[in-house]
Amino acid sequence: MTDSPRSSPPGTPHGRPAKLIARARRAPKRTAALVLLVLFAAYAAYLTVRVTAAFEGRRWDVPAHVYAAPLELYPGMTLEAVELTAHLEQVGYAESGDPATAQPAPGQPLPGQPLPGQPLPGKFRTAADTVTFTTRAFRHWDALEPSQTLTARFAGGRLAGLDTAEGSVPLARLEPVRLGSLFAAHHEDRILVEPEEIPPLLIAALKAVEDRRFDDHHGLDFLAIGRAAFVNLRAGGIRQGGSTLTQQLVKSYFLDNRRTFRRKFQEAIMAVALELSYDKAEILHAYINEVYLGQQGARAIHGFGLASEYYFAKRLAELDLPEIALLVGLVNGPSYFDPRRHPERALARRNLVLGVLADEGVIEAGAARQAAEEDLRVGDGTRLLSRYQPAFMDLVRHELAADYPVEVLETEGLKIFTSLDPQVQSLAERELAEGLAALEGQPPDDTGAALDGAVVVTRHATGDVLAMVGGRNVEYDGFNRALAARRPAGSLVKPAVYLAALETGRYTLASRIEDEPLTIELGSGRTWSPENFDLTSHGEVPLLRALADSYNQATVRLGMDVGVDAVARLLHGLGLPEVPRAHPSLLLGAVDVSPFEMAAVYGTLANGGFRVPLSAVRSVIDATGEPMARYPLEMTPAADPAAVQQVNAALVQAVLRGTGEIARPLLPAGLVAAGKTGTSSGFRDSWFAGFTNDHVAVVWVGRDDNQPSGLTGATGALRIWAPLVTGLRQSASYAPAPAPGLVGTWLDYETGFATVEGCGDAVLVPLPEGAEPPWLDGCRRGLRRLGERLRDIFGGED
Amino acid sequence: MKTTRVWAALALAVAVSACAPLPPASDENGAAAPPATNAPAPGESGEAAAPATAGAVATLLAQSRSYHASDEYAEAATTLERALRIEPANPWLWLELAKVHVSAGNLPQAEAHARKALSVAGGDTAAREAAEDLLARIAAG
Repeated sequence: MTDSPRSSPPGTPHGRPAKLIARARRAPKRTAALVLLVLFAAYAAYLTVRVTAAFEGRRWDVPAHVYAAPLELYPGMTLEAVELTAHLEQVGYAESGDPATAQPAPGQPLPGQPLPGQPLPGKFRTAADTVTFTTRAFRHWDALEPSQTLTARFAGGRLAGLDTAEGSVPLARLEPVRLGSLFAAHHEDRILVEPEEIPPLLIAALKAVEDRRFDDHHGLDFLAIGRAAFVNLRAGGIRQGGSTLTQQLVKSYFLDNRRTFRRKFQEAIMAVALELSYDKAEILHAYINEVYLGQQGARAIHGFGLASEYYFAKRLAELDLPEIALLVGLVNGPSYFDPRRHPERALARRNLVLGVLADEGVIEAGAARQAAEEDLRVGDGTRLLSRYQPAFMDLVRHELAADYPVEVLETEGLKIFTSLDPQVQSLAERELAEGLAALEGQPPDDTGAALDGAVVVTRHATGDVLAMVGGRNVEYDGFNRALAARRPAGSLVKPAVYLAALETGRYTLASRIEDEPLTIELGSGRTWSPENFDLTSHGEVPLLRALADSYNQATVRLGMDVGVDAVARLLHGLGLPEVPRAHPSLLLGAVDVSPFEMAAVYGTLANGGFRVPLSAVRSVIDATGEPMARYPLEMTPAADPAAVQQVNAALVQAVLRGTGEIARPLLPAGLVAAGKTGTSSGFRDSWFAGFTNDHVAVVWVGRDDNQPSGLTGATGALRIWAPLVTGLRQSASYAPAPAPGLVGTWLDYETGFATVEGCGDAVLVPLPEGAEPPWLDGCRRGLRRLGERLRDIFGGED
Repeated sequence: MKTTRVWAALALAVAVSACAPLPPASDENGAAAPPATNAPAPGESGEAAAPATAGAVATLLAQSRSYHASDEYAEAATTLERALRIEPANPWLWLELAKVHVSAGNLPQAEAHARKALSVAGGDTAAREAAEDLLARIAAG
């Protein structure tokens, strides 16, 4: 339009009809222009509202962060120096030279960083049998642990001492490993960093590489757009974007990577709108927390805070030049330049960035050359700060769902402290994967579809879930067998049958029951005749041996005597979520349970009859560090401690000489453990559940298609359980103080008759005071002869 | 409201009386000693002498008592749970947790923890008597 209303000459009504016509034509044009302008303004206003809403929303949308249990260090604990340094590396501490103090930095000192000469938090150094490290301050639920420099001394596989400059300390609680966050449906995960945590070098590098005129433009960089347009015209399509950081931020908010002109247009308006509403520092801060930098399975890595942990296991503020250069290089194509999958591309990209930084004067050319010599240092991803644990996180979400709305968990930046022990978790993952591979290497009688499994490890005294493995593919965020696979428990339920019998007071471990064929009337003319695993009956056997050797006929006979109802109720009391159906087949484990539920039942046994519900979440603090909920240890007496201790004594014998005997050579010499095998009918499920003084571990092995694996509890799950328990170095023998009312008694394992140590097949078990089983032939005489000889010597009265 | 106050008064009364027999470091056995000895008393279970974790547990116990004294029951309990992760079979820690529950007015949990203390006391007569004593007080309301 060349003519404007102002330039049109004044016309006369009669003399110049042509102009009149033109004016008449112009009026609607003007109206149209006005309408267009209004429409555009409305559209721009709409886009402004959308983008500022996104900006404000994202600014505060921080998913809840989930932490593992803190490592408690105390002299006397079982710990090697390498285990401590492994933990320190997992929380992002770096090995440094001596001394671990802040060096005068070449640039400006970062705010919040220690001054030169002060110990540098997050650093450690090792010497012969010592590790010296400076902790970062960490806010736990109950207290803030301040930063301190500690020297840990090691001797003989134990932590021998813990020293500070002021002297030795009895205890130190280290910061926990961050497991990940409860991110939203988009699967975007991020760790929000505050402006003062952002290294100035990162800001300078981002501007130099992505948006040179960031400080001057108003959201759009026309020079860059012009250059990009030229490239695109020559290429005949969109090849290059002239996007500013602001435009990239807008693009990231709306998750749209289509490069259409319409999108570009919208983006441009939104970018300008953002620049009008916020200052440069706010936009840059948002960008640093927003930008997409990688992918781990379903989890999208957003923001430099998380990327720093994901790639380097370090805090953003602790990154050095080559690390910052790599992350800045990733912005352009996180999957194309993925440093773990395409290290050559990533290295070239990083060095290109270093070159740009030198050219732009951000760093010295010498520094760039030196940094370009460095490795990528991203490791293989096995020691990550935020190694995502899908199975455990599943449990965490499940527990939190009862108390917190999803929006709160996904946006309010809560800190969730859990019971997970990262060391136990990786041990459990490794033992399951290696154990299954070994089992598949020697298929017993069935091959084909892959075996899978699940592991749960708990600290029974406090109900802490220390590890949970939902399958052999631990990073797969799918079917969590530990929680969701409910399979027939098989003989794992037998301890409940014996416990119910012992609680009546009519039986002791020495009581003899018949292991002979029997037929149970099921009603409507149906009957059930259980058989033993070895298809042999064993005659009269003591409860001790019937349980340790897992005899079916003896167990069913005992269970029918005390009542299936009583056993069903007891199973619920011990930890099953519901009372199972009281069908006689329950006595041999016809009840579907998950490994997690079994860990609860065995936890109550290990706790001497006190039920402590298993849980993962220990406490919650809000984004500002204020304590919120705490989930305290709660305990319910569920069974008579004396009866439980007798059952447990039989479970110790099961590992020493019964169905779990195969474990004995696999366990460390001298470690006493109690446990039980379980095999469901048709060899579909292979179980082992057992405990030491400190831990309960349950292992399930089977196939997802519920086809036979050909494995028994002993040939399958136990092969994984035994090395797992061996690896639990903090575990001590199961050797409880005798519960009130019990006395240690030597019994002959075969018959349950009283004996003395070394006579017959003697085992020491707790029996109720006053239980006086008949003496084993020949063994009492030995005692009497000894007694008579003593009387001869000392001349005592009878 | 009224019932809460009654419970609180009751709990306080029980707490004061329950804490009396076991003041830190003035018990006839030397109170620092009972919690410091690891639970399966040497010889009792045939186990080797307990690892030297006494310092850590004693420190946490003292910390917990100081929280308890200033009515910070949740902090006191958290601290005891830390100690129990180190020595799960130490009857004195369970007993202390039972007392925290008494102070907090949670008598069912107090009783459960006192029973747990009793069940792990074994040959530790002082611990057994303290647990029985506390159970009797709880039963008496």
